[in-house]
Amino acid sequence: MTTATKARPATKRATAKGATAKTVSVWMDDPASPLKLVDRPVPDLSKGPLKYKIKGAAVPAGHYAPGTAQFRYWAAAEPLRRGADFWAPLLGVKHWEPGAVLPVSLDKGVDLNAYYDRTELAFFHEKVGQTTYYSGESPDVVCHEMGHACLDAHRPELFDAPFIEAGAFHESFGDMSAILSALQLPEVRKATLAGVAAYMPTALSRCAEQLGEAIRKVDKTAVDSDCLRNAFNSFKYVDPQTLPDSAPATALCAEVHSFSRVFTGAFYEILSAMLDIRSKSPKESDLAAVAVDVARLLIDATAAAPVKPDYFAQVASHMIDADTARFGGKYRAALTATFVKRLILPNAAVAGMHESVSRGSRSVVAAVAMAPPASSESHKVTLDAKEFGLGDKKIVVVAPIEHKPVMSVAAGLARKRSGGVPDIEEAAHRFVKMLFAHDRVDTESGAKKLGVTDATPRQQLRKTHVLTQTKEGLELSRRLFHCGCTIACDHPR
Amino acid sequence: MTAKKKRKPASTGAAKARTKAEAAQAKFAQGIVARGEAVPAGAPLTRGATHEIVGNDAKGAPILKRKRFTMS
Repeated sequence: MTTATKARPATKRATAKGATAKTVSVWMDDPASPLKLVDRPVPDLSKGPLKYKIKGAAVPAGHYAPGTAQFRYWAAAEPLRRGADFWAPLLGVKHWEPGAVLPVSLDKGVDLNAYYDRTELAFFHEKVGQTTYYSGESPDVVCHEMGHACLDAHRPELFDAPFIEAGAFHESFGDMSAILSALQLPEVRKATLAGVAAYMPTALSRCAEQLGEAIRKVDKTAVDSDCLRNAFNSFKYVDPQTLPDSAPATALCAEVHSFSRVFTGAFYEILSAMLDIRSKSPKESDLAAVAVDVARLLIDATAAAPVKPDYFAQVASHMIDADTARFGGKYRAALTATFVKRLILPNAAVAGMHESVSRGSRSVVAAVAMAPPASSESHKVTLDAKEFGLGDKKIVVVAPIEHKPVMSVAAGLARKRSGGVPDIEEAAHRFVKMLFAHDRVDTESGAKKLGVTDATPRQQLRKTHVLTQTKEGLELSRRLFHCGCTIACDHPR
Repeated sequence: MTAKKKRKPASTGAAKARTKAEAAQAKFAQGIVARGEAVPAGAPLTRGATHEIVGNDAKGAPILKRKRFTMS
């Protein structure tokens, strides 16, 4: 927002010399946030893999005053770069869904909104009362839209999925992207650490304070009282089929932005609980670490979760499975407690899960061998080994189909929701794909038990499952729960 | 004499899932149209619109295609 003001002298110097500054002045998370301006390195928008091109003439880097078009250029450019640099290595994508370079319109016209439409990111301005609001000036708004583009690059099938929960998850991902991108700034981590640790509302939880203020002036019931959408909320899941099409912001409705608050609320609570698991006296670096961990879980889960009407539960169950595969169940308590409390997952889908060995010694970790025996309450799923680079063989997976899932919450959820074997097979298939993607399968030793000594290579401890030769083919079984982060292993973070 | 035990058709689960998906899809489309978030195909997107109506299904319900995601 803001009224136009003159650029600072530094800008004039930079322009006069034909040179550019090394830093730019930008908002930390929103123009109306208590977190104010910060100096950041000049972002390179042409840097791959996720490149941008802001339409119109480029503005020389410099320290411009808020309210100027030059300031708004860098106020958008910096979070665009920061957010994409955060997501790109996690996504593993080589380009945006629409192509190599994502165009950006900083001022597409009059509106209190912004959008991503597979051709560009677009931001707007509008005068409300005496104030002109520019949506592209807010890092929250910028990183929300950039989040849509990232999720689209990662999971294009979601873009036009005709389900409320799929659309709502896309919106939630945008808000989560705003939170996680803001957490890449040490200044934001320092300012919000205590609030996140105590699970309280913070500048981080309040998404798009200024745009919320502008919309509230037009319709005071359309947005939250302190921002556009606050991730610190108590919304619980209800079947969106039962919700009205519209409602004031104080209630849930079947509109995707409104309904997204259920998942974003769970996410913010999980972030706090994960921080608590990581450290009882967390530091700013711990908050940085859990931001990366929860982002990894989101990306793993969205890669594996089938696009179905109950998409929130699909993502939630796959996040729990991803935590098992990636972190040895380190964050299981945070995930299960929150998803069950928020009614996103039924208690039955997570009941009976084995607790992770988060504080265990090396030998205890190895002792937790889990090879669920085949029984009348399990279903054997046969997969083509060729898909995993293992030649012309079959992989046999014993998938649980009872209400106490051992190997996979996603499989348990599929059983509970549909009772159909095809769903179990699909969930088991996705789980196995995830294990291979994270290099968690020992395809060579054929040994179900692993004797662990100090000399055991750390790489071996990452193999939570093993393939053993049986009459039916290569049978996949769990060998151990990975130790998580309690010992100095070199698993990818 | 033993009566043959009736077995549920194998497709019951899949049919149930299909019905659920169709209901979810209908609710989604109904909400989009009711809130004015859909425009006729080819028409410029109005403020807050996210979808185009590209046709109608056999029951006359609109078939939607997403054009964009918006902030609010």
